[in-house]
Amino acid sequence: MGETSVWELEGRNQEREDFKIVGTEGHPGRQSWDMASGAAKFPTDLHREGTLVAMALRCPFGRARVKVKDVSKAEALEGVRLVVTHEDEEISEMPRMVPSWFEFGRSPLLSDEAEFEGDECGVVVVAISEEVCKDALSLVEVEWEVLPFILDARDAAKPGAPILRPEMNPDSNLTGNTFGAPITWELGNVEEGFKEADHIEVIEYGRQMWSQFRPMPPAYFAYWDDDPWGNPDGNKIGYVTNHAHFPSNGPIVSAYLGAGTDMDKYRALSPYMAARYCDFVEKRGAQFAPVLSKRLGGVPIRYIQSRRESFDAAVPQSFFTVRIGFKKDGTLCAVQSKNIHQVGARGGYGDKTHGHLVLPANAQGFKSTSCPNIHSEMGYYVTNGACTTADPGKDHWEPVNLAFAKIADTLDMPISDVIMKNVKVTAPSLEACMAAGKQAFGWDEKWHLPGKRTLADGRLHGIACRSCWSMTWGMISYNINLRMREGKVYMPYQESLIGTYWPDAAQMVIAEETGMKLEDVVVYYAGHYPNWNQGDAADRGSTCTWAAKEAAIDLKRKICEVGCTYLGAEADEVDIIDSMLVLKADPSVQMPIGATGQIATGFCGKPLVPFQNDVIRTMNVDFCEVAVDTETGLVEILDYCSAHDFGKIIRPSSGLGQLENALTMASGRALREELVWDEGTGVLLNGNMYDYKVPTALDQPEILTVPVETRCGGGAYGSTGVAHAHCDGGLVGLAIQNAIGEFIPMLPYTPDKVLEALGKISQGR
Amino acid sequence: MRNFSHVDAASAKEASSNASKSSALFIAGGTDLLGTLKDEILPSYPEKVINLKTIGGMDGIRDEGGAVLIGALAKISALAESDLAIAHATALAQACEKVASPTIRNMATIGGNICQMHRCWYFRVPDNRFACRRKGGNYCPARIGDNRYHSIYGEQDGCYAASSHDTAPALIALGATISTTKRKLAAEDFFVINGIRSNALEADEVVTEISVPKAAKSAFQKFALRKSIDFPLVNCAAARLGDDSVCIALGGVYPSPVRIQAAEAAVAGGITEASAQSAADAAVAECRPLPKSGYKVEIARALVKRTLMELK
Amino acid sequence: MASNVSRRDFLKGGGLAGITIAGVASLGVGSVLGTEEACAATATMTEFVYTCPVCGQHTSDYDALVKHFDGTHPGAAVPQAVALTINGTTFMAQVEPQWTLRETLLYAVGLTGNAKQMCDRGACGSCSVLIDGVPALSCSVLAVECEGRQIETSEGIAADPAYRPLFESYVKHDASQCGYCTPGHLTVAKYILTKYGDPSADQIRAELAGNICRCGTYSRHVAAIQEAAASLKGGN
Repeated sequence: MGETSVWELEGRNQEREDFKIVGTEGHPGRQSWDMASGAAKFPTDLHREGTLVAMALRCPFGRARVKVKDVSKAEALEGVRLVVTHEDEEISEMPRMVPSWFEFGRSPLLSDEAEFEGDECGVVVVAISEEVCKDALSLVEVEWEVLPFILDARDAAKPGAPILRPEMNPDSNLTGNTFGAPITWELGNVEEGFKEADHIEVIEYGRQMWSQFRPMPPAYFAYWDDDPWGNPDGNKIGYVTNHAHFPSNGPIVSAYLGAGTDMDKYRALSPYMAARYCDFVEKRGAQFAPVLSKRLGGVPIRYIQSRRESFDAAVPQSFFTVRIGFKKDGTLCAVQSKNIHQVGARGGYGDKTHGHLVLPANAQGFKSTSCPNIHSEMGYYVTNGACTTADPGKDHWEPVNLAFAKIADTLDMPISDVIMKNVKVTAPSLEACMAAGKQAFGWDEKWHLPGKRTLADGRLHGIACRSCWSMTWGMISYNINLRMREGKVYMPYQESLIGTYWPDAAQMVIAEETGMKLEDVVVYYAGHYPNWNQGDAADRGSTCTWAAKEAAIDLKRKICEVGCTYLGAEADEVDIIDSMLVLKADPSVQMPIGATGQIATGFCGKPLVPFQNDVIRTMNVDFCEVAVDTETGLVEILDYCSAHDFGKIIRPSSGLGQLENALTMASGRALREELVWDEGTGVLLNGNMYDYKVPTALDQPEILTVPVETRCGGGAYGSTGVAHAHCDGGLVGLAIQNAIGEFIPMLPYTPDKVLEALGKISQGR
Repeated sequence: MRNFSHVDAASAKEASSNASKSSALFIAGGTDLLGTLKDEILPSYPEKVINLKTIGGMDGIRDEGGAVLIGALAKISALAESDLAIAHATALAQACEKVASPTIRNMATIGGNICQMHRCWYFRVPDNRFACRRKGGNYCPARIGDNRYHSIYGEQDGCYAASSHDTAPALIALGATISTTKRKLAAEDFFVINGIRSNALEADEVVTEISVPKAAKSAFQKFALRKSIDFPLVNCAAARLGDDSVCIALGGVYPSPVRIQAAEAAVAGGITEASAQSAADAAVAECRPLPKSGYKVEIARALVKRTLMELK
Repeated sequence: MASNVSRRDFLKGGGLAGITIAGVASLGVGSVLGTEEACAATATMTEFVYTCPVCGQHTSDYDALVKHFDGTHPGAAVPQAVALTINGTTFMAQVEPQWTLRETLLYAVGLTGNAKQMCDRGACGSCSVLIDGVPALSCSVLAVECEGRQIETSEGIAADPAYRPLFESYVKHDASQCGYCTPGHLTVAKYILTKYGDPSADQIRAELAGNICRCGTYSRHVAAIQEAAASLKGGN
């Protein structure tokens, strides 16, 4: 029923088939030894003798304004080195410049207004230890003016809700707490579409704030030292820790913006930053630490951010109400979608702490169905509680798959059939994933109508599947520099690792294309390498391999052009095999490539794919099996099966590892993870790892990974991004519905909601 | 953590007398205490922390004829693996196996487990954001706030927290006696008091030993959202005692663990599927859940029945 | 009494309070800059010196430090010296009574593999060390209570040739993704190998159930530990 994706692979050697290295196993990651042994120094591991500690005053209320009345007692305390208030001239001017990708901002880094409980405001102290900082903060005389706050985007959308940030609607033609006008998007004529429908149903989907949960609380560390190159300006270099992957060097950029020091005066201290899956929220500590250090003559400063305080950023709430019309055969003919989406305490990049706003309208999912009539409205509503950041999942596909499940339920069809009838482009990627996944999962044997199968232990059994797309990140250009020296090829990079093996994938592609042995391609972290546009996360990392491939082809050509004369041949007559330059006609004639001297090349570019694909080329289908205890409401995910179209799998171990990662995260999101605030006070209640429940080894479901390769992506050899597609929890809800016969409209699917769906208890929201 | 002075104790008596001289807290495994100090949730910060781990001979698990004698410093992991406990105090060994995580079980002691403070998230918010009832305040923020993990049996002197020790219901069901430097207390009486502590101890009182009468059969069940690390949402222990009567206790349902006599009566004539169900229904008949804790009633009901069925 | 020790001994023992150790970050094992041999270096150890945390003044004995506090910083807490045995080497470190072992590893020792701060409340396992051979959370143990006990960290296991197969299987199976929790997992992995010899997948998951990995690498640890067990058994 679906259309076929028709397009051509761009770039050179994209259709290569004779892989020697790409797709093979057994190549340990370059940084893996250090990560396992503990030799890897993460930002929280950095310490130098004489390091001072900085801490900010944290707001105890849901939203408040602080009046700092007297800091003299704090200043007089033994061990205190510096006390700055929001009235400090330098601090209050930060950040003074706003780059183009910051949607709005320019508000001071440290102000007298705190937008959530735990927000930094009013005062920062620097002292010899955390204990002294705490004592000093308790000696600061302050007066709090408690302000109204909102925790739920639906409340922010209500008429009469307190206006939290009037400056966000400077046009004055907008009212309430929306950030910008609600975005509408329309295709065909929805009312006409509903007239054609055999069935009309309404679906509800919602999710609470969820934290990607960065394993390392970002404790910023900074100091100033002599410029190792002795530049004549005599300025010192600011050494700072790096915690952000996009834009990479976030702290460096921020410090530069804040302190007004030249960008090239900052150096990153660590190639590690621990996982930050789409958590782009940049902390004030990043900007403060270098400035405070400078104020104190360059002494090392650690700016403290505790685990609890690190919950100040989370994936936004989103609430959908979607009216769907469909025909007897299960095809959608009308979709009317309304979405209330949250913008947290900081509305966008660059605004104090830089919350991230998900830009594209959440109509993307339905846009990728073949439904001819769609009307979608989405509004962003400002709240307090926490900053919002990006969603590693493809949130707009959640209601789409829920719609498919509703159709399946209404018509007693398997959802797998509804997916294939309604996704716009099914061949070749979706077809391949669906077929491979169904077989591996045993879908046909396992599928049943809702509520029809009970397991031997008395629990209800349910299954579901869902489709999603994968992204080729074509928004930016990728910049790869290669240098051949003494028989090895070097590629520097400066993006801190966040949990993907993209440098290692790039290494494999470079070895493949240059003809070098893998061990002769050295991809290394270069902290002083001012080049940000490389890989990092799943999507950008895989797309980056495309540029690595192009650069490698150029380098090989140059080496052959120089080296051929040594072999008395033309460039076309020589090749590089296993790091040796060889005569094609007589491979016994060879020489080490190092003899050709130093040869370098650079490539900057990107595959010609849009940032967000309208027409989906690489798809994936996840399957899930659950058991529901109807007495306690406890849901157990028995297993996941993920048929993922990698396009071309470059480094299998990390590719499949990305699926395990994302699905484990999705399982936590589906069953347990949400941030909880006290409604009356706005105080975060579960900002610790007992109450915020990240899955343990015993909670990880069985995960069966089924790699599919259609070569349809935009990265090297048609590869594509992996993890993002699998980070959503909604699939589990569809499987629960297959078990109990009821849809649960809100994540996570905790026992209270399951028991309520079963009619055993009734609880208000 | 803020500064304190640290002393090692040579005996429980010495620890107790040392504690009576200044504001002091005792440390054994440290897994609960250090968190409360880091988060500064206690009304006053101790001048002194007294280490009990240096007390010799207080970590044994011994057979004393009719009872299993457990030193307060016995590790949770040691109890979980003790053949003696598994055979004669099965519910306790099973409870120990379910405490927290394997690493915490290696560090935490049985004395510490019964002395841990409540996990109520209002009580535990760092820096005392809530002056709650347990801390001497005049209201319970959970009552009007997010009470999804809280009491289903109403309040105890204004507090709606739920007890969170995994070993407590087992000790109550087994009829254990807890010895301290000052007295002997039945487990049932040990846990009931309100206040910053979760038990009846005085500030300078040290738990020294727990005596658990041997039971022919006993069982424990825990319900939590994760299979490790979590404190119980609800837990339940049941024991068949020497006189063939059955004792049942629930945790996570009230500010202290509770013995459920109504349920015990329902199985007085023997445990069958039907009598276990009646016991379960009787156990929750008097429940008065809070707006968000109603689902825990169903979980408690299921756990009582399942635990009893293990005694069948 | 200055003595030269090899880099390997030094890594096993950790640094000394008050001495900044450059290069402790790199174990040499497959690290970015080259082979273990290439990284070999010596560090000069000198006699223990106390450093006043308030003003930085050095004193050579504890009595002098107490006197210094009495005179210059009355009311401030006086640090203590503690003899710690880490990875087989006993040495003195200057700590405060309220310092956890995790803080001590970070600030006074310089071995940060198991000084990881994820939750700092015992609920994540990232700071797991072995104390007398058994996993313990360094965030929940006071340093002053560690005297006389054998502390082992991931760096110590890494420096032990007997456990080379464990590292090889860890890197082979991508047991790290972001790597932050990996050293904590690895110290528990050694315990699992010593406790079970040939652990089952269920035993491994049960023993690792206090170690949180946001990257979901749990099944990689199962595979890596089982492979290491087979290879240790085979006498490799």
